[in-house]
Amino acid sequence: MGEATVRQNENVAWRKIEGEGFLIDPEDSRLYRLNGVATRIWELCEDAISVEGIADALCREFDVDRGTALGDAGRMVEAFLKRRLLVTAAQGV
Amino acid sequence: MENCDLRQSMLGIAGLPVLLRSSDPDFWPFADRRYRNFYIPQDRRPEEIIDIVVAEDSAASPGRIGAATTRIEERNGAVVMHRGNAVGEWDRRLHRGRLVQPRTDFAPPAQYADYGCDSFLRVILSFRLLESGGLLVHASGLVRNGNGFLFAGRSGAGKSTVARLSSGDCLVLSDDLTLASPPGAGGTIFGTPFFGDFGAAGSNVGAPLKGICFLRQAPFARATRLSPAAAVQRLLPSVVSFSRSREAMAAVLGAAQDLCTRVPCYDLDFTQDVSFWRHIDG
Repeated sequence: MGEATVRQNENVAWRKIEGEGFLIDPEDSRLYRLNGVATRIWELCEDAISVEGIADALCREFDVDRGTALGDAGRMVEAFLKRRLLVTAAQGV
Repeated sequence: MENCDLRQSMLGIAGLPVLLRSSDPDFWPFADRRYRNFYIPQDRRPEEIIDIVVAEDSAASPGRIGAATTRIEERNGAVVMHRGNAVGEWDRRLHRGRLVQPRTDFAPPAQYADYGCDSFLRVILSFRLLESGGLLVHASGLVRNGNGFLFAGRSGAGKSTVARLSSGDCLVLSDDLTLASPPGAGGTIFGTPFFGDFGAAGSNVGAPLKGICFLRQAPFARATRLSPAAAVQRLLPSVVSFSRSREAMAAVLGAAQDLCTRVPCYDLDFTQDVSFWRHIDG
C-alpha cells in the first residue's frame, strides 16, 4: 500500500527572498509570504513527499521533537492543499 | 461617412517605439491629448504596430459599457484584451495589434475613451517588460535633483497627491503608472503616457531609481526603512501584470526582488505637504 504524498503544484511560481518563500498562484494572482519553517516545508515538497517524510527532515534540521514536527508538517500541508498550492500524489512503495 | 486617410504616429515609451495607425478622425484628438508628450520622430523602425479601428455603434453594443476590469485571454501566441466594449488582439510573435473600439466611447464626455488604446498599450507594455525583466508599476514616478523615486500604493493612497504636491520642484514621470527597467539597463524608471487624477500626461524621460516608497496618509511625515522581503510584499500588489502564466509570475517575483534589493524602500507616512522629502532624500 503506498503512502500518501504531496508535491508542489507546478503552476505556482515561487522565490526565496531573505529566507522567506514568496508564492504566487497564477490562477488568482494571490501572494503568499511564508515564514522560515513553512518555506522549508514548501521546499521539501519540490519532489513528492509524505507528511512523515517532512517531519523526519524537520527533526534533522531543526531542534524539534517528532510529535511537534509531525503536527507542524500536517497543519502546513493541509493549509497548502486547501489553497491548491500542493497537490496529492500516490507514492508506490 | 468613412475617412480613408490613414494617419500614423510613433510613440516612444522607455525607448520602445510603438506605431499607432488609424484612419478614423475620432481617435486622433484623444490620442494627441493623451500621448503628445510621447510622440517621437518616425525615423525608427517600430517594435510594435497597433491598428485602431473605431466601430460604428451598431457593431459595438453600446449600453453594455461599464466593465472597468480588463479581461485577458492568452492563446496561441496571441493576447486578447476586453475592456468595456473595446477588444484588442495582439500577436506577440509578429508584434502587431488590432484594437476595435466603439465610436460612442469618443463622444463627449468620452469617459470610456481610455478603455481602448490606453488599456491595450498597458497590456502590451506589461507583457514586453516581463520578457526583459522590467516592471510596470502602479506608482507615481517623480524625479528630484536627478534622482528617481517611486511612490506606490492602492487607489486613494496618495499617488496623485504626492505628484501634485511635488510638481513645483520635481519632474512628474507619471502619477499612475511608472515603468521600471530591468537591472541590465541600470535601474532606471521611465515616464509613461498613463495618468490618474493629476490629469496630465507624464514626462518622456528616465531617471536612476533611488528609492521606493509605499504611501500611507497620516497626520505626520515619517519614513520607515523596510527589509527587501517586506518591500517585495508591498510592491507586488502594485505591479501590473495581465498574464496568468507561471513564467510571468516568476518574472514578476524576480524583477520585484531585484528592485527592492537595489534601492532603499520605505513605508512613507505623509501629510498634505512636501515635508516627506526630508525623510527620503537625505
